[in-house]
Amino acid sequence: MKRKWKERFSRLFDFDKPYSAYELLETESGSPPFFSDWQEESIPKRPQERSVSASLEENLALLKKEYRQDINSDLILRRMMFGGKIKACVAFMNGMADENQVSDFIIRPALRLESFETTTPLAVFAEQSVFCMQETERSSDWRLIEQAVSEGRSVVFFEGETETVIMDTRGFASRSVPEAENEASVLGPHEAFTENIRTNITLVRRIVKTPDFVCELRSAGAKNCVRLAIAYREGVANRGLLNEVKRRLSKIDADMIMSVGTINRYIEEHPLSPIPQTLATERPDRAAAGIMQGKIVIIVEGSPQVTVLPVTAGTLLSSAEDAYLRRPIGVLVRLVRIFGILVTTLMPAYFLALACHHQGMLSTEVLTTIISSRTMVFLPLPLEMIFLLLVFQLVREAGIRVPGAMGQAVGIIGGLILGQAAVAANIVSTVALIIVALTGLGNFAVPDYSTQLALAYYRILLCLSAWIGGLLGVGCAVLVTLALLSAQKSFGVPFFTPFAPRTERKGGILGEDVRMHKRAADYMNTEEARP
Amino acid sequence: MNHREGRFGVQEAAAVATIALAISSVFSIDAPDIYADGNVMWLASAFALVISAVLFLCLAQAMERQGCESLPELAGRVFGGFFGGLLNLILILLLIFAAVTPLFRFMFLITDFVFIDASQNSISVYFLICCALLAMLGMEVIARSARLLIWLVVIAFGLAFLFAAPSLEAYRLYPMPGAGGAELIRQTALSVFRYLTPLLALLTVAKGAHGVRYTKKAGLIALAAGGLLSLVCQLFTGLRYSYAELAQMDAPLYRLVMDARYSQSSLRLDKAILFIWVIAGILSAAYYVYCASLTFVRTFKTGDIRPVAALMSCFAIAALLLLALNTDGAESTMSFAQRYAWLILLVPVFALCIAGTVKRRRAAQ
Amino acid sequence: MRRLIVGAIICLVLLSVGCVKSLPIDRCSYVMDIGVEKGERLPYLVTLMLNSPAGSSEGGSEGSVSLVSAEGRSLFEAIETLSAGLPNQLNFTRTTLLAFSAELAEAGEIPEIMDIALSKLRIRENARVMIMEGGVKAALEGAVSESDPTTGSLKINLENMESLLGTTVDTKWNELKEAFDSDTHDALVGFCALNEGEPKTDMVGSNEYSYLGGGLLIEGELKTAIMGSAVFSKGRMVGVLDGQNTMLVRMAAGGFVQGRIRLNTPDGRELSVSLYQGAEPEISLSGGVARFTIALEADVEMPKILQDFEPELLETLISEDIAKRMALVFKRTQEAGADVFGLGKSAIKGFERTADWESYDFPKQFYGFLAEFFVTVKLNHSPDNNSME
Repeated sequence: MKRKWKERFSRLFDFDKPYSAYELLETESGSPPFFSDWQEESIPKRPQERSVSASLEENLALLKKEYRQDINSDLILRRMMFGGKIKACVAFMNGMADENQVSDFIIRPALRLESFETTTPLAVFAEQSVFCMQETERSSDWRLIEQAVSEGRSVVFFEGETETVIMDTRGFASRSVPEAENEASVLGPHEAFTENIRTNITLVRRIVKTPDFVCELRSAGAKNCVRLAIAYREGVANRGLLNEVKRRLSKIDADMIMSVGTINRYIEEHPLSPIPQTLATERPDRAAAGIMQGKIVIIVEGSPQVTVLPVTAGTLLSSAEDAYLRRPIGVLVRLVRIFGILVTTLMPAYFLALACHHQGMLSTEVLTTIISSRTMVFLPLPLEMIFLLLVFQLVREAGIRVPGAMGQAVGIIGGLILGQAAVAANIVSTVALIIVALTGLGNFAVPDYSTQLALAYYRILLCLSAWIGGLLGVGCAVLVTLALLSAQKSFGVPFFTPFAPRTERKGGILGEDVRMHKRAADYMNTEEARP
Repeated sequence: MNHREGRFGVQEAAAVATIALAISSVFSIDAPDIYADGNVMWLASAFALVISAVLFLCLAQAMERQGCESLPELAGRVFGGFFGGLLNLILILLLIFAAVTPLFRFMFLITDFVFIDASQNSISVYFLICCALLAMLGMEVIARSARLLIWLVVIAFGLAFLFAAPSLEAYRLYPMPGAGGAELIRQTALSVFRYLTPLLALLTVAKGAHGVRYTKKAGLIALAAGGLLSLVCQLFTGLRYSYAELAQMDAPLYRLVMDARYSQSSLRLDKAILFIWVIAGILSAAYYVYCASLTFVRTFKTGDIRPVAALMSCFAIAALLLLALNTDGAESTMSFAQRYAWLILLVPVFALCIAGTVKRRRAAQ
Repeated sequence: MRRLIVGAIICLVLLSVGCVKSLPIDRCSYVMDIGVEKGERLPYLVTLMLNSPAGSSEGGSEGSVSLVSAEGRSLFEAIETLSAGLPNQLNFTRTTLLAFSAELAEAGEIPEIMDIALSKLRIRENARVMIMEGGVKAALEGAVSESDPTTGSLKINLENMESLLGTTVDTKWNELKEAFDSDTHDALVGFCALNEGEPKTDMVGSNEYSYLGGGLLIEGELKTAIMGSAVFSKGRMVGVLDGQNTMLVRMAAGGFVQGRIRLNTPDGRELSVSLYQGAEPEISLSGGVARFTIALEADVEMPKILQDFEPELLETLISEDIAKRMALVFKRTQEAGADVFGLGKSAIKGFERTADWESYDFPKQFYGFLAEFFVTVKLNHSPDNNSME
């Protein structure tokens, strides 16, 4: 017992690890942990590969067992005689596979095949000479076969053959290409991604028509066998970045991946930071622009958003419309956006600091107005402000969750009527209400949804700092926030690039002239920019 | 090794050194000592800038000649393990002193003019948390934060100068030079300490700044920009307040801002400007603390800088609180340090410059 | 485990030091003006003008401005007495006016009050200072009106009279402090009184626009009017200059923008002239003689007179008249020991060492200086310049 406490005590001050225990900070592995032992990263173990048996009946029995066919009628096993002499079976999922394609391009050619003779393996012969599907592959990996059947592809088993033929017969119902709702644009395209990964890839490929545009499909690493695609330009995207993205994706061993948001949570290097390190977008043009600049896009099956990485502060604060506006208008829009960000983050805290600690800084008219408006309000000003900020979040969430036209009504009710009623009931003051209203408007000036939510977090933190320490508290909180954000990286790219570190002359807080944009940003360190 | 030095460019290095230089030179002055016999500080600052530039370039040249990546390495290579380590310890103490002095000034400004009922303890906690966190995050973070804040700090200085402009009169600089040539030399030496310390800190992290060549460039930019700010500040305060008034003031620049009269309907910006300077002061303190920690870990071959940075921050804030408590020992130490720190600094610097330039480079170890 | 311990240490550190104390914004009474004068029973009578804004929660600002006063053996005692009787906490961060009675100023007590008491109250050093004749409390009461329950109108009057008429000075506390502590100059401070009683002449003895008690200069809501400036010699008030003489001092010493004088023509008619500053005035000292070089621009406001006299004659007339008046003002202020013309500012430039300057004892040497005033006036609108001709 004594030894255990002695050990714990010495471990508390035991910071000096051998050199081999540390890694350079400049890798995407992140920094060594402060408190716990450094652990080797482990790639999750994959289940042992099982191979297809030569016996058709064995294969079918296994398939029935795996898919619980006795209680699950979705699995269809269509037996047939291939070429009139060899037993075969097509396995596909009802509703996921297009039955017409299965019938017309798999079963019919197989049945109509007259006697044949071939020296090539049967699966090869069938793939190359019989089946009329455009996308085929052969496999004897049982895991791939299961995944294929689950995805809606069809798998053909042959008696006496250990290889199967897998064909893309997906034909499940899905949404058509919708309009972008969350990232509306007046001048730009109006298309948005859907839940179908193939459609999404196509939407991007329609814009990036270069031969080096690559889409690597792979499993997302979850038990629900969702696929994802890594889209990039081979020879342009930084090789190190690409390898790091693949490394992080390969480490995923999740129970379930439903959308790109879940993927982001697995691959981000600062999971506790409110600010996202990836950009989720529903616009194909935005994703394509990222790919053209050497960024990497991850498309997840079942998610109508894609992830663009790496991102910087500039990326998160720019909208899709910026690329289509003329420069003078674009500069004005950006200025308004920056003003909105400052207002939404700093204004409540600055107001609190002045009102609680530095009344001498307020002019007489403002002071009189604030005091007059606070008569009979029972909450102290800081609590009133925090309460209003939380109510604003509440109204916001309610407006999102309530469907259709009622959502707008909730916003109006919450904003106007409740606010006015709260003032009349002496729960809040008019000045605080106006401050929070302006804060809310500034919040919506931020184009990225995740960043909007992150700013809400910082807003409350700054308000608490202002309450506790006045302008000193606000100043220290701002400094600490800036420092932590400066330390944040998105796949090796510092968050405040290109401001800090300053990487190139062009571009800046007001954006750059599109005519000067000849190549990818310097911080992307693309392959084509290397000497 | 986890030294958290990272990599930062010329602009970031120049920004952090400029902020440290401007804050140190403006807010580290012992007013009763400096202005007792007239105001010659503005002239001394100009001379000190030139001398600091020469010394800085000499040190950089010595580093290049010896093939060293940082200042502690130069000390070790030139003077050997023991004496080099001793020199590095002196450097650490001077850096901590440079970190503490402006914070000391800010603490009293805050408790005198802003939070009158607050204790020094509570103010120092804010300093401690921010300084320790920044120092532990590393030089990259400090440099980037400085790059982001540099224009804000410059604007704060600019506003102070703007507010002071209507009230400037030349007669307040007289009698000139005041106490004579000897005092001018003494104040030049004191100013050299204030200007050179941030540059020495920059040389300590020269490896992170991509080498001595880029560190030189950053240092000269910082000297020009920070020196200009400091010089204008000294001149403006001298034109606004006579030497007798300056001798009684803790921070004349802040008094400049406070004394500006605003219209009845405008907001008063003096406290906002003060807190911009306070943030800059905390940033520069973190910079010095980090550099001191890096010197320590390099001298004593420690693996992780973070506990050292945390301890150095606590040490700095403890020294600050000791000074604030007005204990006799602390006061006399502070007074001694402010009067003779330049001597403790310049002698080793000269020795390093000469030895580093003259001595043949050792074979690579 | 380690995280728990370190987290506990951090919490202990954060909780062991108090937060910075906050002042509820609506629990303060903001002191706009402070008046100090001699009390009847105790040494000091302190008057505070408080702004305690209040109103309904729906908006609308019905400010509550009140004048409270208390006597005490010291400033602190009086303020503590006032604080005890008020529901809100006194907040001095918005104080913009410090008013002292002429009696207190003549006794030389202002420097002590400023150094000790006002510093501790953390009043901003850019607050303006005024000297009030008679009772400060009465003067502050006379400075409010129905349209403005605060002394804002008085302060605006002071600013306007300084910039548009040049007949007073708007002195800040730190400027006054500088004048008290240094030997380079003495201060003029804005002077006001109630518009009642018999008219008085100033220390120069001129009765052109003597500072009046009859309210003839301004008829309006305010009972308190600006009368000129109080002259200080170091920390003691030694006299009063009326508006015209104040303007003359500012013309010579600097700070003059525009003003107006009246003088007589050779044929006995009265001439009203608007004056504007030309170049900055220059002062040079040599051999015990102070040479003032002043350049002014003038507009004669009576075209008939302008036609009757040559412009050069008018310029000479005006400049000689101003120089003569300036010499008289200088003489009277010199006799009182008040270097309001700022000779010390020029004298100090002749010294290289501080020890020499401090041993020179300029205030003593000041009495022996002679002054010469060289005023050049340029008429802006003369018949030769008239475009109609």
